Amino acid sequence: MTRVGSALAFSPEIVLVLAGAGVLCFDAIWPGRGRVERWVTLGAMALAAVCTLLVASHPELYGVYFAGSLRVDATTTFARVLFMVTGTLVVLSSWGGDGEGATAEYYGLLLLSLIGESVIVMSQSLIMLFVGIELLALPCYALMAIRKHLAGAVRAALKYFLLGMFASIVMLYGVALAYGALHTISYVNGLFPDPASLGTARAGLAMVAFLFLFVGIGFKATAFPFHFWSPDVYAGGSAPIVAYVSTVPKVAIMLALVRVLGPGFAAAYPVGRTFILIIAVLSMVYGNVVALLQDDVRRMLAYSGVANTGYMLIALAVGGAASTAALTFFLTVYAFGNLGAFLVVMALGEDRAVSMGDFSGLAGRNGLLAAAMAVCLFSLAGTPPLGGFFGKFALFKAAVDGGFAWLALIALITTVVAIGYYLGIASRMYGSLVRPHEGEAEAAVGPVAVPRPLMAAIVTCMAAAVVLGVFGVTLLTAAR
Amino acid sequence: MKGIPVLSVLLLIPLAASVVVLLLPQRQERLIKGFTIAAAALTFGWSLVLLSRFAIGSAAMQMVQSTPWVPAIGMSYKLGLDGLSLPLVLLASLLTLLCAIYTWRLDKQVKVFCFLLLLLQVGMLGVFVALDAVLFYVFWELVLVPMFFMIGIWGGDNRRYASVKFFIYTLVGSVVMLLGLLLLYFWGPRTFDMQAIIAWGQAGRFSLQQQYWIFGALFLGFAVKVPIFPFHTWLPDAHVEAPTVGSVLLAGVLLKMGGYGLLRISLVALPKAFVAFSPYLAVLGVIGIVYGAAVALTQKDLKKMVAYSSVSHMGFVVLGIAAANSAGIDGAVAQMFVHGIVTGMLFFLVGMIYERYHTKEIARLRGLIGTVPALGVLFAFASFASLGLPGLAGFVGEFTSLMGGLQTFTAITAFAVIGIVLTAAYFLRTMQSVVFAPPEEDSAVYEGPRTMAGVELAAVAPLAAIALAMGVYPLPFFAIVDPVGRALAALVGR
Repeated sequence: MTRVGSALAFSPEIVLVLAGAGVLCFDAIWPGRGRVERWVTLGAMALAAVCTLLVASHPELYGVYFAGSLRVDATTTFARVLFMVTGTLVVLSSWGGDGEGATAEYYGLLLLSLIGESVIVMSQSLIMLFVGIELLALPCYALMAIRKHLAGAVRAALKYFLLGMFASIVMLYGVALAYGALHTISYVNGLFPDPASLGTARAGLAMVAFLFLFVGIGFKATAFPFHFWSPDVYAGGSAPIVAYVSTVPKVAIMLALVRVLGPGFAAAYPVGRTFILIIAVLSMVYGNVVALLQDDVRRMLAYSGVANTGYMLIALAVGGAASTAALTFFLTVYAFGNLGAFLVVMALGEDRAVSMGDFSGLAGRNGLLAAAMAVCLFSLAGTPPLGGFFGKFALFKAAVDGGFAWLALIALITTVVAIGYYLGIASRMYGSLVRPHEGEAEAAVGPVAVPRPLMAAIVTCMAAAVVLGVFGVTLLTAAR
Repeated sequence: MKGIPVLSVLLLIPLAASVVVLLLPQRQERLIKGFTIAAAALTFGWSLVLLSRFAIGSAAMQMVQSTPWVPAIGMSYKLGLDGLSLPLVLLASLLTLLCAIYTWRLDKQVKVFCFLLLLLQVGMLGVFVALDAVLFYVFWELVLVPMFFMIGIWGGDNRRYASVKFFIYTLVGSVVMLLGLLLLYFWGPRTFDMQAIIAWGQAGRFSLQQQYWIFGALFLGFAVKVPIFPFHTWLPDAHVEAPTVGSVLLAGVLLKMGGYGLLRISLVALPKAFVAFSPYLAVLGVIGIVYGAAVALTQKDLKKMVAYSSVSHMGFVVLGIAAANSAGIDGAVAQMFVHGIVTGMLFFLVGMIYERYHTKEIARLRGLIGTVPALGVLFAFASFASLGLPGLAGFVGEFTSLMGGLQTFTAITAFAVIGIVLTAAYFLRTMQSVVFAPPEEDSAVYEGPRTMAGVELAAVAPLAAIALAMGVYPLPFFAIVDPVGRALAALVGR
C-alpha cells in the first residue's frame, strides 16, 4: 500500500489528531471559554465521519497497515461512524456547560480519546491494542475530573485512574505471557492458533495469558467481578463524561475482543470458553439483581451496564460469525439506549446524585424527557419493537443455534429481572399522573428545564432506539 | 379496491388520527372530540367495508398482506382476517366509536384521553389482525399502556392501586406469553409467521414435551387477560376504578384478546397439549361461571357486580373453547361478541346512573323507572340480555357454548347450570331494586331531567339494537364464524 493510500485510510484519525492538538494549542495561545473549540470539535467529528464514509466507498483502501498493526475494514467503518455520532452527542450534551465543564481541554481530550477508541478497534497486535487502550483511558481520567469544584468528581477520577492503571498492568502482564506462549503478539488471524499446533505446555500457558488479558479487558468492560469501580465512578464523575465512558469504550473493547479471539477461539479452547461463560452468567445475574436494589440511578445504570456486558459476552462464548453480527447490532442499540439514559439522568441533576424519587412525576414535568427515558430504558430492557429487542433476540438466537439454549434461558430470565428496575423508573415517571387523591401532596416539583442541545442529544438517542427497532435490522442487512 | 392493503388502512386510520389529535390545540376540546368521533366513525365504516368484502363461508385467512420486516429472523409485517377475528374487529371498532361519542361529555384532559382512545384502538384492532407473533405481541403490549393511563388518570378514588395492579398482572402475563412465543420460534419453524408456526404444529412437529411448555407459557398470558379463575383478581379493581369508557373497552374488547389468543395460537399450534389440558380448562371455565355469579350476587356495588358478571360470562367462553367442538368454538366466539355488546352496554348504563345519583351502591339506587324511564327500561333490557333471556343476545352465546360443553364434558358442564341460576338471581334482584322498587328514605336522589341526553342514547341504542337482532336472528353471525369453528374442531378431532 502506498503512503498516500495509508494516509487516506487513516484520514478520520488524522483529522481528529489535528483537531485535538489544534484545540489544545489554540487555547494555550488564546484562552477562551471554549466557544470556538466546541465548533471546531463538532466540525472535526463531522469531517472525520465524512472521511470514514469516503474510505468505506473505496474498498481497495480496506486492508492491514503498518506491518500488521492496524486493520481498516467494515468493522472499523462501523465503529468510526458510531464513535463520531456518540462523540457528537456527548459534545451536544455539555453544550450549555458553565465554563468549567466545557473548556478547550475538555474538547481536546475528548477528541484524543476518540482516536484511542478507533485504535482499539483497528489494532491487530496486542501492543497496539494496549496503546489504544491507554490513549483512550488517559484523556478519560482527566476528563472525569474536569469539573474540579466537585469533590466527587475528583475522587471518582482518582479511583478510575488507579483501578484503570491496575487493569492495564494486569493486561500488560497478559501480553507478556501471550508472547511467551504464542511467540507472537499479532492477531491478524486471531491470537490463539489451534491448540494442537502449540503442544500441551504452551497451550496451557496460552490459557493463562488469556485469563490475564481477559481480566484486564474485563475491568475496562465492567464485567463481573471486575466491575466494582464503575458504580462509584459513575455516581461521582462528571455527568457527560460518565455517559461517554459508560458507553463508547465498552463498544470499542468488545469489538477488539472479537478480533483478538477470532471466530474459532471458543470452540478450540474449552477452558477459555468456560471462563467466558462463567463471567457472562455472573455478570448477567449479579448486574441485574444488584441493579434492582439501587436507589441512585447512576449506580443502577452502572449495574445495568455490568449485566449488558454479560449479554455481550454471550456472543464471545458462543463464537462464530452469526454471534459477531448479533454483537455488533447489540452494541449499537446498547450505545444509544445507555447514552440516552445517562443523559436524561444528567438533565435531571448534573452535579448531584439522582435517585429514583427524582423521576417521580417526570411525565408531567417534562413529557419529552420522560418519553425519551422510557424509550431508552425499554430498549435496554429489550421490548419489541425497539432496537434492544432485536439486539437481544439476535444474541439469544445465536446462543440457541450454537447449542447454548441454557445460556439463552438464563439471559432471558435475567432480562425479566431487568424489566423490574427499568419499570421502577417508568412507573415513577408516569405513576404520579396516577395520583392517589385529588389535592394530595406531590413529592415532585415544577417543570424540568433542559438545555436545547442536551435535549437534542437525548431525542436523538430516543429516535435511534426506535429507528433501530423498526428499520434497524433491515438497514444493517442492506448495508451488508 | 384491489391492491389496497385494507387491513393496514384499518390500523392506519386510528393511528394517523391519534397523531393528529396530538397536534390539535389543547383548548379546542369540541374540535378534538368531534375529530375523534369522526375518526372512529371512519374506522368503523372501514370495518364494515371489510365485512362486505369478506367471503362468508370460508375458513381461510383473507385479505392477507405480508411485507418482510426482519427477514434474517423470519419476522414480517403480516396481517389477515378470518371468521374468528372479523367479529372481534367489528366489536372493537363499534365500541370505540360509541366510546368516542360518549367522550363528548368528558371535561378533564380531553386531548390526552382522545389520543389514548385512538391509540388503544390501534392496539386492539392490531391484536385481532396480526399474523406475525412479534407483531401480535407489540399490539398486545400497545393495548396495555393506554388502558393503564385511562384507569390511572380518569379513574375513581382508588385508581392508583387499581391501575398499577392491572399493569403488573397483565405485564407479567404478557412477558411469560412472550417467552411462549419465543419458544414457538426456537422449537418451531424459525419464523414468527403465525401461519407457518401453526402449520408446523399441525404437522405434529412440536414434541409433546415442547407443547406442554409452550402451552403453559402462553396460557398464563391469555388466562390473565380473559381472565380465567384464579387469575381474575385484577379485574374487579380495574373495573370499579376505571372511567366508563375504560370499563366498556376493558370488558368489551380487552378481555376477548385472551380467548382469541387461545383459539388463534394455543389450540391450533399445540393441539396435543390443548386436548390434554382441555378438561382442566373446562373445569376452570365452570368454576369461573359459578364463582363469578356467586360473588356477583353478594356485591353491594353495582359496577363491581357487573365486573364479576364478566368473570362469570367469560367462563362460558373458556368452557366453549375447552370443548373445542364446532358448537363450543362458535359459542365461545359468539359469547365473546355478545358479552362485548351487552356488558359494554351495562357499563355505559352504570356510568350514566352514577353520573345522576353519584353512587353505585345497589341498596341506595331505587326507582329508576320513575325518575329516568328510558334509562330504567334500557337497564332492564341489558340485564335481561345479560342473564340469557331467550330472544336476546346473551342466550345465543351461553346456549351455544353450553351445547358445545355438554358434547365434550357432560358432567363438568352440568355444574355450569348453577351459575346460570345465580346469574338470573343477581340480575333480577338488582333489576327489581334499582329499576322498579319505590324510593325509600335513604335512597339516592336525582332531580334532573327525566330524559336521557342524545349522546347517551347514541352510545347505547346501537348496542341494544344489536343485542336484540343477535338474539332473534343469529344466523348471519354464525355463517361467518362456523366455517372456522368447524375447521378448528376438526384439527383436534372433535
